[in-house]
Amino acid sequence: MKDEIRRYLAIVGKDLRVEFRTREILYTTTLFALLLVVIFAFAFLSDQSKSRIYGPGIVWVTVLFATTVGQNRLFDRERENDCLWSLLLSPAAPSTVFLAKATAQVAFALLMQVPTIVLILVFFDLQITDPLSFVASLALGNVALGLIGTLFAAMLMNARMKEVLLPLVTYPVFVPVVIAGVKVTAVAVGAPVVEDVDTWLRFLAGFDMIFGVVTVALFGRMVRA
Amino acid sequence: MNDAPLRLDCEGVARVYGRRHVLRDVSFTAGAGEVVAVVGRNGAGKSTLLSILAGRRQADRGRVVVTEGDRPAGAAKARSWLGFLPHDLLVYPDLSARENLVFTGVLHGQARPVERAVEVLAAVGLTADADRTVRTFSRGMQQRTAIGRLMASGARAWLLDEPSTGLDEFGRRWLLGLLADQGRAGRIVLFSTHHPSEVESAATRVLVLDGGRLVADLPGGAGGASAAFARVDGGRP
Repeated sequence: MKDEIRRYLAIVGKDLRVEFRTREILYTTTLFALLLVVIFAFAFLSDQSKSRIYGPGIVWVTVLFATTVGQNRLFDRERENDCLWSLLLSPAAPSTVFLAKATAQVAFALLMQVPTIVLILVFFDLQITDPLSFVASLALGNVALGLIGTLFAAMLMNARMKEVLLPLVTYPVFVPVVIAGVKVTAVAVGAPVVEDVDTWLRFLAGFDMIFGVVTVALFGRMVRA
Repeated sequence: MNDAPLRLDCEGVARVYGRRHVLRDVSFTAGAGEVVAVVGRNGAGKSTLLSILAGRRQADRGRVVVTEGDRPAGAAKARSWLGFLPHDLLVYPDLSARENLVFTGVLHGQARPVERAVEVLAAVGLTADADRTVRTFSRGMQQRTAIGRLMASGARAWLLDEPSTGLDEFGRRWLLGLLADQGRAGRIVLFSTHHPSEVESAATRVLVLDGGRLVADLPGGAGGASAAFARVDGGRP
């Protein structure tokens, strides 16, 4: 167990080190997210009074699109020199490799989302009235996107059209996460909606648990197939 | 290496790509201390055989068993004992040589990966370039880093696919000495090659593959090398 924790930390540390050295994922996803926010701002700013209604959707659409761009790049550095096999042929358990890659993916996504969400709040003049629920929905939602996205990104690592295929296979699974995220965010920004935040947060936590087990169990078999 | 001796059994391994039989019923056993050269023409199945032995590819038929003493190893244990150097070097180009070796040491559960990396860097002649990213290295230096990866992993069986690729003459001589030393230290070494001189100077045994079949299993040294490459040529152009 102690060895597996060391391996997990080593893989996460390796991914963070390479990313901070190259900044490929952070630059591309952050720039893409900021571009989306600017486009949404031009499209919707004409009626600021409705920003609380469409603001939550903008937050989650931006999170979703930018996260997908990052997930497409996640395994590129493992593909070069066939490095994924240095992990799979090591004594590290496939579940350790998967959880480490998913952790790194979630870390990159959250780093990208901080400036993006600040910009959305400023552009659309949104006030977060329930910060705890908002942060919980982002955390749980990102874990769900990270688990599923990491599994499919690994599977499609060597596919010729992976940039197109990844959203095609992941978005149908992401839809419930985005809906739950939008519902919680709507309440958190004080939108005129009647939603039970606790129910949606429990849904996201349950989603994370189920897909956590499923994706960890499938990773080893799917990448070796 | 005070553990019980390791043995690698390849039992009736076959592999088919589409309709093409790349390996047909390949069986042999390699024991601790053996340095085995695998020779054959292009497409004879050398790389596929090494990939299957390493666990990188699955055999369609047959199996590979790693045994310590008389106990067959589980999957994780076998992975920790086998070190693989394929054509793709399995080193991270955006990490330095030192970072690659420390990372490998941690993955393979080495007790002192940082200190071991320093020793390995000296052994592969990369101490002066230890903190440069591998992407900035020449092909030969990248090959040395990849060989260092095997050393840092502590693997007890080395599987190397044309390991002298990219090395200059000095590097090639160093590599062959290293492989012979690993055999003397009790490791199993299997390497593929197209060069009779490499078989002659490092191998204690030669396996000849032809059309996916193991057609000869000969002793190493000068006599074995010339007999093996005579089989490889087979009178064909």
